[in-house]
Amino acid sequence: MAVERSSIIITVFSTAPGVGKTLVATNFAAGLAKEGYNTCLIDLDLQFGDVENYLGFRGEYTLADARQALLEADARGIPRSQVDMTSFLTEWRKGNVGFAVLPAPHSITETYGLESRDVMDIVEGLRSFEYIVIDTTAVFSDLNMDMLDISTSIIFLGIMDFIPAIKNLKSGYDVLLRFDYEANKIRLVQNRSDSQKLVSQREVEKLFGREFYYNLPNDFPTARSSINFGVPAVLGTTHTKLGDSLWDLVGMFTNRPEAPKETTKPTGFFAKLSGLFR
Amino acid sequence: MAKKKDARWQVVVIEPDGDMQREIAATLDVTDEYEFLTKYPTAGAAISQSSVFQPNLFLMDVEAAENRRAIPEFTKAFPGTAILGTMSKWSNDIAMECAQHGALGCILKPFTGQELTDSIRVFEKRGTVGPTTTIAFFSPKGRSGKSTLLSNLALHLAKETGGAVGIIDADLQFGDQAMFYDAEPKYTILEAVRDINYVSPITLEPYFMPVAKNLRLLCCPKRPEYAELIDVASLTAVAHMAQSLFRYVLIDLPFGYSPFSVGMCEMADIIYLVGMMNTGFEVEHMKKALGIFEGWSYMKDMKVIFSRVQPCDETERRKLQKELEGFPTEIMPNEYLLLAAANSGRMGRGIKSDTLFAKKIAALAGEILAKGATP
Ligand SMILES: Nc1ncnc2c1ncn2[C@@H]1O[C@H](COP(=O)(O)OP(=O)(O)OP(=O)(O)O)[C@@H](O)[C@H]1O
Ligand SMILES: [Mg+2]
Repeated sequence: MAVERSSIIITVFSTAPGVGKTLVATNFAAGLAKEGYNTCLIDLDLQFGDVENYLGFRGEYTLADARQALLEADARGIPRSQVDMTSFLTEWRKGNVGFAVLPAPHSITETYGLESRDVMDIVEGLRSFEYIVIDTTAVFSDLNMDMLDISTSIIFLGIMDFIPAIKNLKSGYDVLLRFDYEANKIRLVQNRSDSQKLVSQREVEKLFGREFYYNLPNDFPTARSSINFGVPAVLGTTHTKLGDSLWDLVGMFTNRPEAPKETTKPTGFFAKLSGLFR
Repeated sequence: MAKKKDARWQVVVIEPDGDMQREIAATLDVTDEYEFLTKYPTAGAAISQSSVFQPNLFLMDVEAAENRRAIPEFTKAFPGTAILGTMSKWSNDIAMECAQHGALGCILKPFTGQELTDSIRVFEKRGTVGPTTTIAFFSPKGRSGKSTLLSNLALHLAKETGGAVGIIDADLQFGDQAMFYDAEPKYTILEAVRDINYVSPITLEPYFMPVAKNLRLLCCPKRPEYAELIDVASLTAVAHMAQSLFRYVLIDLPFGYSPFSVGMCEMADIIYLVGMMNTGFEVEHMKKALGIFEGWSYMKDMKVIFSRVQPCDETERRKLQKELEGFPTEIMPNEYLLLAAANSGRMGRGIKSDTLFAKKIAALAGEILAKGATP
C-alpha cells in the first residue's frame, strides 16, 4: 500500500505590506501547475484580497461560501470533514496550465465572525491537492499564525529599500523565531532586490543573521503587464527577468529536473477531475 | 494672610465641600505664584460677586453640572480670566465638556502647588482654549502613505497653529512613527494603557515623547506581540485623556477593518481614508472600505486621500472622486524627499514649503482649522 500523502503547503507571508506577496503567490500557483502539480491557491487577504484582481477573474464562489457550508453542516450535525470543499473552487486556466483558486470573500461583511478554525477546516478539506499556496496579509493574526503553523514552508518576503519596512520585517522575523518556527522552514526571499537601496544586501543579511534564500529582481514592466493582463509572469510567452526568476524560485520547492519538462497534456486539478467523468 | 501682590494668579475658588475649600486655599497660600482671593460654594454665587476681587483664575468644581454649564457665562463676564475645572475623579466627558465651554483644562483635586503649576503650563501650551480636533487615519491596505501623511500634517499643525499636537501610533504591531523621528521611546502605548486608571492628563504627558516643537508622540509597543495586551477600551481612554493635553490628536491605525481600527475611528472628529495609487485596484478596495463607514458621514468629516497620484492635478482628482461616486476625495503627489526623510529619521525637520506635497498638506490643515473654528 502506498504511503498516504498530504499536500505541501506554501504560505507567502511578510510583516511589511505591499512587498509582492500576491504577485509571488499567484506565480507560485501558476509555476507549480506548469510543472504538472495539482495546485490550489487560497486568498487569505480576507478583506481586500487581490488574487482575483491579479488573475483577472471573479469566482462564482469564495471562501465565504465554503465557510457557510461548514456552518450548515454544523447545524445539521454533519461532520465538517464531509463537506466537499472542492466544490467552491474556481479553475483558472491559461492554455494547458490550470490550477484551482479559492478566492477571498467578496464583501467585508462576509468576513465578520470568520474564524481561523473555519479556514483550517477548509484547508483540511483541500488536502487532496499536491500543493496548496496561501496568500496572506502583513500582520500577526490568529489566522496567519495558524497558517504558518500548518505550512510546509514559509516564504517570508521583503523589500529592503525602506528603513521602516526593514525594521518591520526584522521585528516580524524575530517574532517567528521567538515563537519557535523552525528557521529552516522560513525562506527569506528578497523582492525587487536590485532596486535602489540605501542599505547594502550584506548589511541586511547581517541584521537577519542569515542569507537570503532567493533574490527576485525589480521588474516593473513585467509586474505591471502581468497584473493588467491577469496572467502570472511565469506563464509569459516571452522570457522576462521577473518571470524567469520566479520560475527558478518555484523550482526550488519541487524536485524539478534540470531541464524543465514541457507540458503538453492539460494539467491541474480540474483536468484530472474532468478525466474522472469522461 | 500675607498679600502676594506679584503673584501671577489671583484665584477665586468655587467648591461646595468645606474641607476641600480649606485644603485648596491652604495650598494656594503656600505657593508663590498664587494669591487666594475668596471662595464660593457654587458658580452662581461666584459669578455675581467675584468682580470686586478682579480674579484672573477660577478654580471651579466641575463635577456639579450647573457649574460647568455656567462656564460660557464666566468667559463672557470675565474676559481673559482662566477657568480651571477641578474634579475628585477623572472624567473625560466632563473634561471635554469644559474644554468645549471654554475652560483652560481640568485637574484632579486635591493637588499640590507644583501640580497646579504644571497643569497650567501644559494647558497653556495646548494652545487656544477650545475643543480638540481628533483625526484618525484609516487605510484598507498597507503601504498606503498614511503614516507619512499623518506625520507631515502633524508637523504642519504644530508649526503653523502653535497649538500642541499629539500623535498616537496605534498601528500596534508595525507602527513607523518612532522611526520617522528617530525616537527611542522610554514609554509606549503599552505603558500608557497599563497605567490609564492611575494617571491624569498631566501625568500622562510624559508618556508622549517630544519629537518636534509643539509635537509629541505616543509610540507603538516595542514588540509586535505586545499588541495583544492592548484593548480598544483602554486605548480609547488614553486617546480621550490626550484630548485634554493637545489641541490636535492624530491617530495612526493598522490597515484594514477591525473592531480596533473602527473603534478608534469612532472617537475621531475627522477620518481620512488613505490609499496609495499603484495597480488601480486601490480604488476598488477604497469603495469596499467606504461601505464600512456607510452612514457615518452625518457624524464625521470623512475624506478619501490617495497618495502618489500621477499626474497630481485637478482632472485626476475629479476622475477619482467620480469613481467613488462623489465622495470627498483628495490626492497627494509622489514626493521622493519624503522617502529620504523617513529613511533617515528626519521627518521632524519638515518638508520644503514650496513643494506640491507641502501645499496639499497646508490645504488639508486649512480645512481642519476651519472645522475647529465652527464646532
Ligand atoms: N519584482 C517586482 N518588480 C516590480 N514590481 C513589483 C515586483 N513585485 C511586486 N511588484 C509590484 O508591487 C506591488 C505590490 O505587490 P503585491 O500586491 O503583490 O504586494 P502584497 O504584498 O500582496 O501587498 P498587500 O500587503 O497590500 O496585499 C504591485 O503593484 C506589484 O506589481
Ligand atoms: Mg496582497
